[in-house]
Amino acid sequence: MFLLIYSLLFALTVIFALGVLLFENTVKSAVSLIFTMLCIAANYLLMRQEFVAFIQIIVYAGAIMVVFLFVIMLLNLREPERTPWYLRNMRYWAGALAFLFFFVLAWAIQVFAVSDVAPGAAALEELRRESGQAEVTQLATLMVTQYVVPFLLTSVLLLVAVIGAIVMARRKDEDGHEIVLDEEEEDA
Amino acid sequence: MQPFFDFLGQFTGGAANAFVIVTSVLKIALILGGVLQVVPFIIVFERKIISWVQDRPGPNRVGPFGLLQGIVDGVKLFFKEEIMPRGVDKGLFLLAPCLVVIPAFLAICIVPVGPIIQGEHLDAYAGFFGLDPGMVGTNGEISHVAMAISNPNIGILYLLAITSVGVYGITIAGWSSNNKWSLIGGIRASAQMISYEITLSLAVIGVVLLAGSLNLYDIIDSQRGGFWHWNVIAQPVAILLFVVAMFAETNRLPFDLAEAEAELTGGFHTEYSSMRFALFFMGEYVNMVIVSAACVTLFLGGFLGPVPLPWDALIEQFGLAAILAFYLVGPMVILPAKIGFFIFLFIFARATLPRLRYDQLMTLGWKYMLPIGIINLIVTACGVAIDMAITQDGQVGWVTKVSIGVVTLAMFLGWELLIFSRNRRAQLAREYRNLFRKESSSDPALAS
Repeated sequence: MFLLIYSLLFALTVIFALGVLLFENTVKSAVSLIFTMLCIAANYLLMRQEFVAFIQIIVYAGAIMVVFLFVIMLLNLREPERTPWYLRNMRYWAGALAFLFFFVLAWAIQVFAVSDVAPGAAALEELRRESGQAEVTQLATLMVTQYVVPFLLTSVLLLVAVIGAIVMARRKDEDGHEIVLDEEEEDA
Repeated sequence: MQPFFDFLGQFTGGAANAFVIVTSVLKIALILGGVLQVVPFIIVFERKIISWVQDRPGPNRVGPFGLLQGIVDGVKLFFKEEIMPRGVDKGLFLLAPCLVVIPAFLAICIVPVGPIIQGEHLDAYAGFFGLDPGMVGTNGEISHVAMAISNPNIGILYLLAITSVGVYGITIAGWSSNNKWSLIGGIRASAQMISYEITLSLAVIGVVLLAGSLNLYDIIDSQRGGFWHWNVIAQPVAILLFVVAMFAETNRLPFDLAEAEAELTGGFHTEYSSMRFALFFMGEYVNMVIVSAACVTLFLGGFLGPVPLPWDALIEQFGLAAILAFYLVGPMVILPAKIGFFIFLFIFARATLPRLRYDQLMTLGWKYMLPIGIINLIVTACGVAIDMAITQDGQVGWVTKVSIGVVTLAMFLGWELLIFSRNRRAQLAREYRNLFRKESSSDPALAS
């Protein structure tokens, strides 16, 4: 029963992933990608990783893909654009890279599955066996004790990205003055 | 009942599995069926209330007081012609209504409608239905039955995940309709919903901090002991943010810019007709019920009554009848009453408030609600941390809850007052300047 559900879900994931590549319409590709994300979340659920599953949905299927879809809709990419010369043979390069990536991924999974190279995963597993607490509690405990520096560094990285986005989004006129769109602000 | 489960158990790998499956199906049928049955009546209720506000009788032809109007409307929509306009993207056009309804129904799964049945009470029920105590009972394979379709450990995250996926139906409907107004509606909806989702999450995190768990039953347990223990006392600002964000998430007035009949002729569902339109309609109302249920669970004690009753003594005296009452008064009386209050709030807001302008909507979401949410969260986190440092019992005491509530509310009101006075001053300055401009412009020579 479990195997049946698992293989069905796996097949669905692959079908949607193929849909991302094969749909000519960009919006359909994006929708397909959303469903791929949801299927991956369902796979996590079957592995009893509830927290990761729903974070996957919130972050990828919920937040990132909305922005994707938003941008695609605003651009309205119906006609395929003319490709520049350096992208003409993209297909073959992409194929080769995908092949390489597949091997790297397979190797990584092999390594991380059998050894304790992934210290975070190993520590989490150990904590779970010891305490029998909820998954989230353990994850949070690890994040603010053992891995507090990487955790904080990630937040700094995100902050940099946000500031960068704001700087790029700020429009300036020819003299280098900022364009203020909100009239109320000026008055106040 | 035991032979029945034994018989089913042959196909499902054990009678306990069969019991879980049967109870799950029953729970789904009861809860989903209940919500679906209520939707037409909410629509009638809405039309009635709006008509009373506008001093007219409202629907009064079908059934007593027009109560059956909702059902008749449903039948009418069912028999209408389904129009598929030329130029729409067929696949996505058909997918969109499903993407609105499915997440709405999925979210019902985790709303706790009643207490967990366990201990002696479960034994009593098992005895009543003639079940084997080895299968269902204190020492059996199944030691508790939750009165929610599902009770995952990460309940809140599930709710947030489902609401974040709910945007797609509207966005895709807007795009696939091949209509400018629909597209504008869809884009407005997605921008609005991702903006207010952040505030919604921030409001929820405070409650999670107080309960120390993401599980909805744990959150309700942390509010046990009368209405003065409910999270609304500790998080008065958060519930305010949650309610505003919940209006925006369900695309209801004053935030219904995605529909905006006056400017977009219905927005994202302009091109939809018959049952496909009805699905959007139903999705909106089911969503209203869900966010209300979520708000009640998080801030108003869920199925808990306002005053704690001496249930142990009552059960001692009346036996099974009291046990039944203990488990049924929550789902049958208290939860519907609390949800009903929020539904009324939704309807009353629609009857009284005008629609916001788009830039006002974004200003409210990003410049006011988000900072308030962050400050509320910081204050709450500090309060919880201080409480944990002093008592060390892993639970937030009542005094801490009240002080967090008082501090956040005071800060919120102070800030509001500050903004209000600043805005008032700016308005006066503007009026003064306009006055001056008008005088000077009457004489072009002076003005230049």
